Amino acid sequence: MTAPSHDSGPLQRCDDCGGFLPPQAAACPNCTASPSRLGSRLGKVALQAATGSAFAMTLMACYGAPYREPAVVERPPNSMCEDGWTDADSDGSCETNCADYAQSSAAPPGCEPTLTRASDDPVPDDPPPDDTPPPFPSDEE
Amino acid sequence: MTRRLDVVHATPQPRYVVWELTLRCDHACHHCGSRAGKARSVELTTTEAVSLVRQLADMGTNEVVLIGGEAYLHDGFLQVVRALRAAGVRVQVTTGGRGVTIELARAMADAGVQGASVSIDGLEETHDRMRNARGSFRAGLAALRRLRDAGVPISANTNVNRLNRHDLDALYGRLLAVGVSAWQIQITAPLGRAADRPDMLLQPWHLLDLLPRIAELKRRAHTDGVRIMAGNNLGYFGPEEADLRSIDPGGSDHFQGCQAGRHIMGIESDGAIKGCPSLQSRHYVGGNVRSRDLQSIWNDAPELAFNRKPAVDALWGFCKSCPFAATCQAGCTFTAHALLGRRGNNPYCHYRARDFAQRGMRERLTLVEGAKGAPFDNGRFTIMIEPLDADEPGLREPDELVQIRRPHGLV
Repeated sequence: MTAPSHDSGPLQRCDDCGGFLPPQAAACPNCTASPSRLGSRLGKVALQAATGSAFAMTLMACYGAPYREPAVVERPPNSMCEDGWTDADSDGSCETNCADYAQSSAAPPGCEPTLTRASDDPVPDDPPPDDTPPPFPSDEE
Repeated sequence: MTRRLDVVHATPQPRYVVWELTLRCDHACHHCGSRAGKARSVELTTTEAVSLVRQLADMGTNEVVLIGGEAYLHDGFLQVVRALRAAGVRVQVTTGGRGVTIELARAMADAGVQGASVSIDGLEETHDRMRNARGSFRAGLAALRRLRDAGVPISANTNVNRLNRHDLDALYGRLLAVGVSAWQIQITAPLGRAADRPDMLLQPWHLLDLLPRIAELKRRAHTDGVRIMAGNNLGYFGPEEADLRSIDPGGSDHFQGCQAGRHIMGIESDGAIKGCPSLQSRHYVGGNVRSRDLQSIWNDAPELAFNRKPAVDALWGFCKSCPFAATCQAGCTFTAHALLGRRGNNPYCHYRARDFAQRGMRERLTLVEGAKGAPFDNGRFTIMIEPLDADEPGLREPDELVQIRRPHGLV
């Protein structure tokens, strides 16, 4: 199996609008600027070609997942909590539940799944309980 | 191990694979292309799925994204994750998140899931309406938190359409707060259930406003350490193309044609193979791994090979005479096919919308043939050209936009 041919070449960019210029363009299709204004972009294209990246593209699929590098920068636990939630037991989780108290004498009575907020704002509706399988949709259409 | 490569010169290989483990789902989203809900009648067993992992690894697959339905509703979900990791394949999961408990999140992390993208399709009201389940938005955010807390890197994905196109800025704030590192935005194409609901779809001229806004949002997100990536069907070749397509600011990436069957492959839960997970099953399934080995399907099936030679001759309509035709080749194949019944002409295009607008015109899509009701099926639209400032008839309330509508009216 061979790679497909590609007859358009790497595309240069218009200095006026930043759009790409098709091969042999007499003017930028987006802003009608003359290709003589390309100058400063040509070096970049040549560099891309030299490094083999001129045709590089990030593979995507609409049912896939966004591209991200394997490595991630971890954030301190409390800075991850959203909108006033707090990591009360410093276990890296903004949610508090029985599992968080497994090794602690501070478990609340009944150890009901609870959510702790940093402020006195009205508590929102509970998210679906963890142990309840979500309802399955009935047939539609 | 990367999804970024020289797509023109590299030998076709299924480097990036999206695998529907089951069609069983705990949502019944109004825009779902696969009409997920019930499992397919003959889905791959865990043993068959694990066997397929070896074939993928042998063919050079770098990364697999497990989807559904909900991948976690397949009995062998975690076994498949472990098998992929053992074979050296990077594993991500795309999920609606409704059933992601703390325990499941931890199990996913333990099994080796290296990233999870949760579908968040707008602010709470819009998301719950689109996904046809009250509480879905909160469940999605809870899933993000649970996965993050379990150590799974989190990201989000959003289908943009007429219901939620004004939610994006505010939604970004919610996603930032919960700690996503990346966000994929794509257009809701009329595939599956979305094909039954034409009123919820964008019209091509909506791109005139939408794409610059997303490009601006992407620039802002970069300063927050969040990477917004345009899905394959969001483009093409307007002034913001490089901003939308490049990974980092200042990049000069641009769309280089549909990669279905070149470097991307889709697997349906019954073992059917196609060049991209979103492609119409009826037209693009090239074989089934139950009856044929994966390598021979990939190498020999014409249904997977349509992108392996320049497709300019297959273009028609506006795309045939477009100055970017040789590079773009009508953008996303499944989207073009979903709109006009065959590939090669794609009205969901920023450059095209701008070109019409410069002439004081715009294209309107009108449904003329309904979808039949199968997973990944499509209807057919026709294009009407009208003045750019034509009246916008029939603007309806959000609940009406998700009603099923056939070519002759509301069902």
